[in-house]
Amino acid sequence: MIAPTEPFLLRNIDPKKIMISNSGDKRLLRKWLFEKEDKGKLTWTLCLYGTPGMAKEAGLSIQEFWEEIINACYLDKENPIKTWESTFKRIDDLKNKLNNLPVDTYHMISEKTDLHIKLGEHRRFQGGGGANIPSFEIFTSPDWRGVNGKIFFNFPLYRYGNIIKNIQLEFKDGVVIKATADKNEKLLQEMIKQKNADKIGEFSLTDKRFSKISKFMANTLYDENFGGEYGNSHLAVGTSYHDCYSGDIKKMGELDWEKLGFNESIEHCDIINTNPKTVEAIMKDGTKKIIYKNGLFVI
Amino acid sequence: MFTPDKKILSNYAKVMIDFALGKGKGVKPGQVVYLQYDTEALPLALFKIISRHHRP
Repeated sequence: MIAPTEPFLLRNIDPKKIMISNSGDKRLLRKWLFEKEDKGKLTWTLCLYGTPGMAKEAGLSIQEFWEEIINACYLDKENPIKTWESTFKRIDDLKNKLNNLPVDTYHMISEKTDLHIKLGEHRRFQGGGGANIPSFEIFTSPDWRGVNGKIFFNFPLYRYGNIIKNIQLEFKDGVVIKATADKNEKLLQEMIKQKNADKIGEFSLTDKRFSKISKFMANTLYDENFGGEYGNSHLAVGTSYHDCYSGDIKKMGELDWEKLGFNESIEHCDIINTNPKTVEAIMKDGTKKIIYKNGLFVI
Repeated sequence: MFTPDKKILSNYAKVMIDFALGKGKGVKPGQVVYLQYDTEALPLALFKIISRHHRP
């Protein structure tokens, strides 16, 4: 349960020191948890508990902040679980349509953004699985080697007890070759310097028809599920999600993941773009189809 | 400190335990839950613990 009292606790700490916290025991713990999850012996979920610190950062009163949480999670419904089941069914239907398209590469166009993302072999989109409440996004872990172009993230990133503003990333053959930000660029650079944190682990789109979130909430859990006027898209730098593999996860080994272009990293950091955008799917036969426009899937 | 209405916290706990965990299927008898929370979330944490403890 995420409930930071003060979002900027580490603002005076050297970014190099912050990244050291991601080494050692944390790596081992993460590996153990991921292996357990791959075996089907672990599930997890996140939720948010509103605090005055987060509300202030979002420009809301604590009551208004909680109203967003209540609204987004259907907590004022007589039976919120029934409403969630219905929402996840709708997300599931859309996800299945997306998974049935013979896509080779996605092409995203938005302000200061022109990015190609190769889907990769044996991929599937996920969403509506219970990991995270609220969750309206549909996401996959593409082949990290097939990302080329540039992307701008207009939402600020709250990470490592700091804020990073106006991030721009440029990729060549899957690797970040340029990373800039208007605020806390040094922290961004240090984060990306971690092993394989200069490659993507996730590509996600949220359809505004599903998402009940219309206000900036100053934290990733809500902001990565933002609906608003144009929905959102986010990329995560760092590790991939193995459940985006369409085959039997239990039969996969480390080399198999590597061969398919699933990224492995201690990092997984979602960075969000809520600007108007178009996403075109370039199919395996070379034909093109717009799949997402102005916050809506159009398939 | 603002604390939401008990009905809201109760619904929140139900959504997380009876739905979100277990990939949309909820926690089943005998399963172990590791609950990690920041101190400010204690009111909801208590609801989660109680809602499990009182279940047959």
